[in-house]
This record gives sequence, C-alpha cells and structure tokens, in this order.
Amino acid sequence: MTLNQSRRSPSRPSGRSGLSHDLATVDIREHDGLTVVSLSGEIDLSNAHGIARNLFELPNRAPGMVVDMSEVSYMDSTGISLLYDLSLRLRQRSQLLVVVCPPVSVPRRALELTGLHSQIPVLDQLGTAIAELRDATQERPEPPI
Amino acid sequence: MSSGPPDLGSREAPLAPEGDLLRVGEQEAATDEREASAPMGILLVDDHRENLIALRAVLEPLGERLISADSGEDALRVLLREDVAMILLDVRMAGMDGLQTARVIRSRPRTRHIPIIFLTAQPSELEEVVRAYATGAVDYVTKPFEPEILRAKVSVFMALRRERNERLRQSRARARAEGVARTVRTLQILSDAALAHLELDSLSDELVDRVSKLFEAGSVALFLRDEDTARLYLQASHGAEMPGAPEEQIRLGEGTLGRLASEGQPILLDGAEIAALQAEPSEDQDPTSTLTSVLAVPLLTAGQLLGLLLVGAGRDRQFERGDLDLLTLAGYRIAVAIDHVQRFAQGRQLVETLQRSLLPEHLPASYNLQLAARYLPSGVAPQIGGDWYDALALDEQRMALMIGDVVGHGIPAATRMSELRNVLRAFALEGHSPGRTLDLLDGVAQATLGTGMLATVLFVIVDVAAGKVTLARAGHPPPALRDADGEVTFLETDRTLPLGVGDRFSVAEAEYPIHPGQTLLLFTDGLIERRREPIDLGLERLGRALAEAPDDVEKLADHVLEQTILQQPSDDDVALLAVRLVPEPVGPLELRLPAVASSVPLVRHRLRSWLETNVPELDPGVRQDLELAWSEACTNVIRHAYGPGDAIFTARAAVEPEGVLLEVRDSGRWREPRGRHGGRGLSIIRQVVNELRIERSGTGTTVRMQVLFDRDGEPEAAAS
Repeated sequence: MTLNQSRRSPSRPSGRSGLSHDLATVDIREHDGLTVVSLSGEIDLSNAHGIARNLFELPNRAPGMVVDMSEVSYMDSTGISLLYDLSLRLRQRSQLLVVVCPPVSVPRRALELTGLHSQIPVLDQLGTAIAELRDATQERPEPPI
Repeated sequence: MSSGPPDLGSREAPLAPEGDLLRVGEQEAATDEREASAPMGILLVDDHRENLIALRAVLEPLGERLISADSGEDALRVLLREDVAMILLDVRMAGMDGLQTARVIRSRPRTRHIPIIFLTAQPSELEEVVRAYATGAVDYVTKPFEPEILRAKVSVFMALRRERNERLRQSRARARAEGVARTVRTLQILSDAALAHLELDSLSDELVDRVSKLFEAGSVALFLRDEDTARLYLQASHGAEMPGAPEEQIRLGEGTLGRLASEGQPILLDGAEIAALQAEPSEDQDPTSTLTSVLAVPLLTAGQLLGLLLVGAGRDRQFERGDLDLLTLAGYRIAVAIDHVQRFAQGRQLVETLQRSLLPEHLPASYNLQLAARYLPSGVAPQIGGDWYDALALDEQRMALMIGDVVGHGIPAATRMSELRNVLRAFALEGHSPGRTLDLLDGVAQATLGTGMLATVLFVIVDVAAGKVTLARAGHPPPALRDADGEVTFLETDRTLPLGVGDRFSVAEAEYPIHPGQTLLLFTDGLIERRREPIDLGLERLGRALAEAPDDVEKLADHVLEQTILQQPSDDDVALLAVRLVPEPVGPLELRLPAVASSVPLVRHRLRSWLETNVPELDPGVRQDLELAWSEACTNVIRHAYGPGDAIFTARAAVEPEGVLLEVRDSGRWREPRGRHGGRGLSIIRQVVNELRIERSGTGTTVRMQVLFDRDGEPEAAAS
C-alpha cells in the first residue's frame, strides 16, 4: 500500500453554488444571452417537483435554454415528464430547449426509452449545445423595424 | 501548549522568613567566632584601692579585660551588666563580705558557673568554704600574694574557661547546623514534587503524616476552610485527638482555635493553655490525649486563610520556639501545596464536566452506518484538550460527521470548542453543504474566537443513499477511507486554512464515492503527529493500523489507537470518529416502507448497495436498468397510494440463477398506469426487464420483474 499514490482527488470541483433538492442541485446561469441550467445528482419522484418549480418560475427572457444533465447520475420517468413539461412551457414562449447528456448515461437511456429524444434536441456536450442554440436563435428572423 | 502540573516548590512561597532563620544562625556563629579570640572579663573585687591597683598590675600581662569593683554590692551590680569569665574576690570587705557576695553570685543562674578565686590573708578560715562549694571552679590565693603564682593560677582558669567556651560554641554551632539542616529537610519533605500529583485527600493525609514524623508529634490535625464560609473542617489528622475541636470543625473567631485562626498568627500553646482548651465544652474528650504543648499555625496564601495546622507534642516531648518557627515556615509550603491542588482540582473538575458536555453521549444510530468514537486526553498534561467530535443524522440517509481541534488546552479551549460545536451543528442542520457550512463557521469564528485562537475542522456528510461523501476541511487532516479489502486512502481536498486565521476564504469542497463495507475514519492530528517525526510517518503508521484493523468499528477504533497512540505516545489529545457503511445482507432484500415520495430514492439506494454485495460482478448497464425498473414500479405504487403516509408497500429483491427478481407489492390495488406519467413509467419497465408480471389479488397487487444477467437479444422479447 502506498498512501501517496492512492490519495484520491475530488471527482467534482466545488464552489458551485446552487439550489439543493436533497439528491440533486440546480445551477442556473446566463451564457451568451442563453439560460444554462445545470442539473446534477439524482432526479426522481422525491425531488422532480421542486426542480420543476425552480425552472418554471425562472424569469426567463432568453431566446433559448440549455438543460445540462452531464452530472445527473440517475433519472427516471419523472425526470422525463419534467423535461417534457418544460419543453411545452418554453414552446409557448417561443423559446428553444436543448438537453445535454453523455451518450452512455442514465438520463440518455431514459430519454431514449421514452422516445423524448425524438421530440427534444439532445446533444452530447454543453459547448456544442450552446453554439447550436445560439446559431438557431440568431437565425430566427428579426421582427421588422 | 500545556501548562503541566503545578509546581508546589517555588511559586508563591514567601522566602523572607526562611532567609531570616538562616541569617539568624549566621549571626550567632559570627558572635561565637568573635568571642573565641576576644579578651574575657575578669572582675577584681577589693575594698582597698591599692590592692586593686596591685592586682591590675599583676594581671595586666594576661591581656584580658580587667574590671574593678570596690565592694560586694558593687561587684553584684557589675555582674548584672557585664559578662565576666572569672572573679577575684577579697574575703574581708566592709559591708557585704566576700563569702556573702559569693553566695549571691552562686545563687544567680547567669553567674552560677563563674569561677571565683578568693583573696585572703587567713587560708584556714576558707578551706572549709572552698571544699563546701567543691565545684573545682573555686580557689583561693593568700595575701600577700606572689605575683607569678597569682598570674599563673588566673591564667589556668582562663584557659579552662576558654576551652569550655569553645566546646559550648562548637555544640551551639552543631545544634545550629542541625537546625538549619532540619529546616531545609523539613521544607523539602513538605514541598516534595511528588505531592504535586496527589489529589487533595491524599495530599492532606501525606502532609499530616510527614509533619507528624518531622516534628515527632503525638498528634497532628489539619483543618481546611470551607470555601466562602466561616468554618474550618477537619481534613486530615494523625495520632491523638486534638483538644478544642470536638465536632471536627472550628468556627472562625469562636473559641480559642477559632480566634487563633482569625488572627492568623502562629502560636505555641503550653500546658496551661492546652488545659484551658480542654476545659472548653467537649463531649468526647479523650483523657489520654494529654499534650504538653501544641503548635498552632494558620495556613495562609495571599493573605487568605486557607486552614489551620495543629501539631501536638507527645508526653516525652516539649515544643520550643524553634519548633514553632519551623512549623510556621512549613505552613507556608503546606498552604501553597494545598492551594494549588484545590485550584487544580476545581479547574480540572470544571474542565472535565465541560469536556463531557462537549462530546456526544450517544452517537446517532443508523441501520446502514456503524459509528464509534474515541477521545484520549493528552498523555503529558492531565487536562482537557481542544479536540471534539460530533455526529448528527440529517435525515434517514445522510449523516453529518464533524471533528475539530481548537488550538490550546484548558477551559478557554474547551469553551471555544463548545461555541464552535454548537454553531457547526446549527449550520449543518440548516442543510448547508460542507463547504458552505465551513465558510459560515469561519465567519463566526473570526467574530468570536479571541486573537490567537485557531481551530481546525473537518466536516463530512455521508450520503449512503447517494453512495457518496461530501467533505470540506479547514486546516484539518483529511479523513481516511478503508475499502472492504483493506486498502486505505486519504480523502484530500484543496489545501485550506484553519478557522480564525484572518482572511476570509472560500472552503474547498470535495466529493468521493463511498460504498457499503467501507470505513471512514475522521481523526485529529494528535493521532498522527509526533515530535521530531515527519508527518508522513504518522500517516503511514495510521494507514497500516487502519488497513489491519477489524471490521467492527468499535474494535477498529481500539485497534487504531493501540497501534498509533500506545506505540508512539502523543503529547496532544486525540479524537477519532469511525464510520462504517454496513454492507447489505447476503440473501434477499426485503423492504417495508411508507408509500411516500421520499421512499423512492431509498429503495433505489438500498437496491444499489444490496446489488454490490450480492451481485458484485454485475454489468453496469444491467444494474442501471434494475434500478430504473425498481424505481418506476415503486413510483407507480406511491403515486396511486390511498393517502399520504397511510399506505405501506413492500419491495423485495432476490438473486436467481439466471438473473435478479424484483417484486413490488402494494397493500391495496394496483392502478392500471394511465396518463403520460404512468404510461412512461410502465413503458420504461417493459423495455428494461426481461419479464414483467402484474398479479392482482384480494389483498393487493404484486409487480414481478425479472432482469437476466445475460440479456443478449432479450430486450426485444421482453418489450411486448
């Protein structure tokens, strides 16, 4: 046993401020005029409602929202329902929604199993998602002056 | 860091009286030296001036001091004020004659031993007288005397006198030397450093015992003042009962002893005064305790009466002034010793109470966590340190673990520790993350810790359900994590500063996965730090000890202490807190839980840890799907429960040869999933399990799901 070699480094850097829902945290910030919501932890019946309230009550005037689920370690049908409801809400406001999660992950599997990935754009990486969404919102026709 | 045991020998002891005693001895010795060589007085008594002149002429060559007196009366007056070595006395004188004068001289103690040479013209009338005195210090010379013979005779007497004086001087010097030695020895014996470690009762008994030996006393009694009252109670005694204190207590200012104590003056009581004491009302006076003399010495420190020491001489002994002086000196030392021990005892008791109140009496219980804690005070300083630990169940699944070290010892450190501990508990209960909690705590610490007060803290939240620990530390050593196979790692975070350092900082937080079967050890630096030893050695020693330790946390804690502290004693105090994540039982998992939303993560996490124990080689994809299916089934049961908190559901998991069987059963009716939520849940279940069966009966509905270990080509068949 060599202690120095086996010292572990943190799996996740800290200092991230956010709203805590026991199992999950919600971090909301602005990026290039877009709203970026980072979820982490586990999403199920016990906390989906609280997370949804955070997102729905957000004073959101940005043309689009990215929900980053890269750090979500568990999500089931309640999380899927949350995303579905969110997409409906944003569509009413003419805002776009993009979901980010790695190709091999529980959220991705849930999205695929329920077929939601065919209704909401799901991308692998946050950077790509932000770039795509920015392009998409800028492509939209400006109202005539 | 530590103040150590009190030093009874040096502090507060008044040095002046001892010095005086020794100086008096020096003065006496010097006087003796002068006397040894100085001329001695010879008193010449004759009522005829010419005779006196003749005597002076004869004796002048001897070099002694010659004093003349012209009558018997005059001689007696001279003897009252002068020390003389011998007397030449004319027998026939007017008024008081020589024989009468000699009789008076012999009758006085001070002059009794002065040799006398009678001067007479009629030796026959003297021979009888000289024989009658028969002391050898008397002689006669007949007149008219031969100058040579007279001078020779006087010279012999003077030589004898000098020799006798020398012997006296030597014996006085010896007695003085013995007196000084006795003083020094007595004081040493009574301020022995070994006494410093005794508690008050043992100290009192030991002091009383030593005093009785040193003073050859028949009886010794030590009375101590009841704090803030006007009473002295008998703390320790030796030998015969002391008169005047029949109820074993003395009221200040009342009775002889009470007045003695109030006046604060040492006193030597003789037989008559003791008799007066005994005449005072006393019910059970011991008639055999007849004391010839008693030394009564009030014990004072800083002008405050601490107690009264009574030492009674036995029948065959009589105390003298010197004994009182010595006991007075000894009394200062005894007072200091008792004062120190009393203060120390008070401080220690307070500190121990404080310490007990700071460390949790019981650690919280948890079905999935075993906790054990140890606290060892410093091996060097027998007093409280600044270490503490604490554990707090935040909810069913999350346990907050805290350990810290306030730099310093004693009551100030313990008080700070208490403040920090309570503030930390409060922040932890509010649900802040470890990093945020320590940020907040640092704010409090800077506002309340005194200057120069530092504290280190480690704050850990163990989330069994989520399978993770989140930790933050402020200048504290990282916790050690032991795997089920014995491998030990230290869970680092970014380097941090102790609380109260000054600059506000944001405490780094780190997160690590944690599994059933692992043990987390929080400790203070006393466990690893040794003087003159690199810290890595301490960490390695701890790592080895932890790796070899038994699984049971109580035994593990003992083993770790045994292999670290007992092998390499620490100067510092040591606290440790061990937490073991209890492995799930081997065999089926059976849960009975309320049909509420918070049960969903619980059943999932229990399944996760149960799978780790029972199907350790499980494919991660299969595990994910088992969790999904199990959570969805439970979610459905809970959604359709009759009322909140009322209903109970059961969940069961079992390993079968081909795969894992999951069962979720409600006590009421299974509702056909409907709406988009239920539809999605059932849809997921159908896709991830190999077999799904829903059985309804009168007592409830059972959802039975099977997931095969080898699912190649199976999903299609399952998703019907």
